[in-house]
Amino acid sequence: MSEIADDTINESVPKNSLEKKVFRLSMIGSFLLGIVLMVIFLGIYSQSLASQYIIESFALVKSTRLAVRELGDPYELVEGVIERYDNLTDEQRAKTGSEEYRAMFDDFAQSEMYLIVSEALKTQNTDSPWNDIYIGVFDRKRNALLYVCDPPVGSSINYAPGEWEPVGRKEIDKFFEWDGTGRLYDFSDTNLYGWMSTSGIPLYFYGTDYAAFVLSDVLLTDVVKAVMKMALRCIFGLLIGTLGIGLIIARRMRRQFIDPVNRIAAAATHYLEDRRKGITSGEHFNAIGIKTNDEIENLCDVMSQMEKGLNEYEANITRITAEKERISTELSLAARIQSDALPSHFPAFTERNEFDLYASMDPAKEIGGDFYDFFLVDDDHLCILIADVSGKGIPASLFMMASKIVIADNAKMGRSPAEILAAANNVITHDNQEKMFVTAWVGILEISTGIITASNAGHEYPIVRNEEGRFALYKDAHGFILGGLENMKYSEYQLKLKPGDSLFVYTDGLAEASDINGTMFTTDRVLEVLNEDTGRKPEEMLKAVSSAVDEFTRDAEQFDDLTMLCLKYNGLNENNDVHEIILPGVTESIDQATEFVNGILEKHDCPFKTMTQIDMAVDEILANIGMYAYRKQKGDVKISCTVTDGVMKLTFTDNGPPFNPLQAKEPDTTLSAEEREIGGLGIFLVRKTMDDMEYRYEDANILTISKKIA
Amino acid sequence: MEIVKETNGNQLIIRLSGRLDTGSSPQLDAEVADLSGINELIFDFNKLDYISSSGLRVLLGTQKKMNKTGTMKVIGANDTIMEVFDISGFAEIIAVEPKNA
Repeated sequence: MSEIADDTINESVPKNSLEKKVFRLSMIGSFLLGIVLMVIFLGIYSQSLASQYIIESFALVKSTRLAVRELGDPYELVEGVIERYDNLTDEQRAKTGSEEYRAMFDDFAQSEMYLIVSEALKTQNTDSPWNDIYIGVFDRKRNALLYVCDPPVGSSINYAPGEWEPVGRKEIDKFFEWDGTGRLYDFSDTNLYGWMSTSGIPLYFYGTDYAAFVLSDVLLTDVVKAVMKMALRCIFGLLIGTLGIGLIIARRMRRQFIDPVNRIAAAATHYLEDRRKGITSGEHFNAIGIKTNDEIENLCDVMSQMEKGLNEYEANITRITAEKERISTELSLAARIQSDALPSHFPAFTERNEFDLYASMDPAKEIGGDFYDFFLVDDDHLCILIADVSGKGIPASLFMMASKIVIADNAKMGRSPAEILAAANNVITHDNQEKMFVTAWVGILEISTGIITASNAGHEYPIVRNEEGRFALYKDAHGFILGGLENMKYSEYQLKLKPGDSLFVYTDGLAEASDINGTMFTTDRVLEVLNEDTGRKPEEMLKAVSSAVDEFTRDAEQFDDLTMLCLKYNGLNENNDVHEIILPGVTESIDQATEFVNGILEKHDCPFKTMTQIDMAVDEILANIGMYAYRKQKGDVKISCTVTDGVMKLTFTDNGPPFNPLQAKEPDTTLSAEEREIGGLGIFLVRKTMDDMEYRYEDANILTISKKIA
Repeated sequence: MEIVKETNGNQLIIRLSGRLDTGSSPQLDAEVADLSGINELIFDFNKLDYISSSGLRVLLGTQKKMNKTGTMKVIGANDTIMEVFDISGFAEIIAVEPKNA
């Protein structure tokens, strides 16, 4: 399962919830809209209220004029006031508002007509609380309003007859020049009353400078007060309305957008959790079922597709990984089978002192196409072969296994190298559809004489230690490769190894091993290494070449399989003394075995102590074989004794169950008498007293011990 | 292998000659089966050529018995035998004196 970043999944509501944001935004929006609407509304409202007042006050002055005329037509009263006013000096007039000034008009105020008119005005006034209704005269000469009858009503200030106040010229002209249509009114900003509307209707005209009007003042301050009251109500309503709208929008928003988004987020969270648990089957996004017909539904669909895609992808990856693992396992198993198919236990023929042999195969890939083989055809003939299948890897290895069996089968029939190659070629060619081929070198050593009969099917030249004791290429005649054409004939040749001589065969992977720059190792370098010390044992020889190649190629990738085989011929010289005895595998045979071994040792003037040690070893090994190997079934033990160059080798071969004494647990020699266990001590003593001890199993237990005796 | 036993009161000397090996060890084993009344046991190896692991086994069994009733030692062990005693760790368990000491 792939690793997912291990941060905690945040399922909580985000700090700035979309819902809250929408709520705030819609509140602000609708509040602003409400304010604008309210201002417009209040504007219209106040205007209509004001015009309503004006209409009312205009109607009032009209009806008042009618009432005044019917009651007593105060033309003369007005005229009298005008005359007195007009006759005053400027200084006298300036005293308006004072007691002294009022006293000058007191007779008018006491007149009967004044009282009648004033009573009429009062009656009109009581109907309208905002209005102050009165009779005034506009003085065009002095731009003044002369009061004639202004009875006190409510809170309004009343003027006595004859009192006046300055008025704007524009207002006077407006009143004077009214054509009688529409409503006559004017706005003025007075210090005393604030904004005020004055409606009027002409009563009498006195010459060109004086005109009497029935006037009515409406204080707009009152209108403003009414509007403010209205505005307060509006704002209260607006707040409630805004809150309601905000909540509705937020709720709608939540249902339509936020909830689906949260559901997608929750699905994503569960998806992640399930994946961590390793559950991949669920359809997290598909199950939400968002049907909003918008981008959110689209998002959900895309997420659902993504989940399916990821699941498929992961399933694919898992399958591919499993497949790769399987292939890799099979490949390493194949590699083991292949390496097991090559004889790889060295030293290979411990009981044969006449020759020494070592080989190695190092494939470029897990498995390769190179192979070598060696086996005794009979007691006096050792067959060795080395071959290289074209190509590398699995195809080459399959071809190699088949070729190895074919060649070995033919060799074991006792055929000569040329016959082996010819027969093998026919078999290989016959079934070769893939046009693969094998190069091979086969040699059969006659152990008693050191003569090698060999044949070469397109393989590299063997390297032999020549007359001068130096390694050199042996340029043999090359036959055609195996697998190319049927019924090919192969020639064979003989070369003789003297005791101490070696034969070295290899595949092209050795000479062609390259460093990073592509420079090849070449056979010259091989010869150089081999000639450093021509007397080396085959194992040392191969290891020297191998490490030289490693050092040469260093970091470069190994391109081809690298296979080598080295045979050293020791010959049958006088120092090589071979003896053999076969005895029943019982402890009673110990004396006979000791006698046999001692007979050989005495011939070689073995020191007494060494002899007793060897005798003891024979005793221990035979005791082991008698007591363990042949405990259930009886059998023989073959003892071979050779003495070469002052070293005695004793090989014990028995057919008991496989038992490797070298793997037995060593006894603990530090324990006290009470704690000591008996067992394994015999083999332990042999290992300690002999120079070397080897074990292998080849359809029989083969145990070899060696000890220097001279 | 030849075995000669010499008893002096509570002391027993066993002189061995030849080889104490797999074949002859049972013989010695039988000779030391009954050691009643012995509190000093001496193995004289002066004429013994070598000893095998089966011989060591008999010596170990005998040593275990003597640990309870008295003492035991081996004298006159040759080089080969000394080496076996050393390698096997028996030199630590059994008192052994080399031949020319």
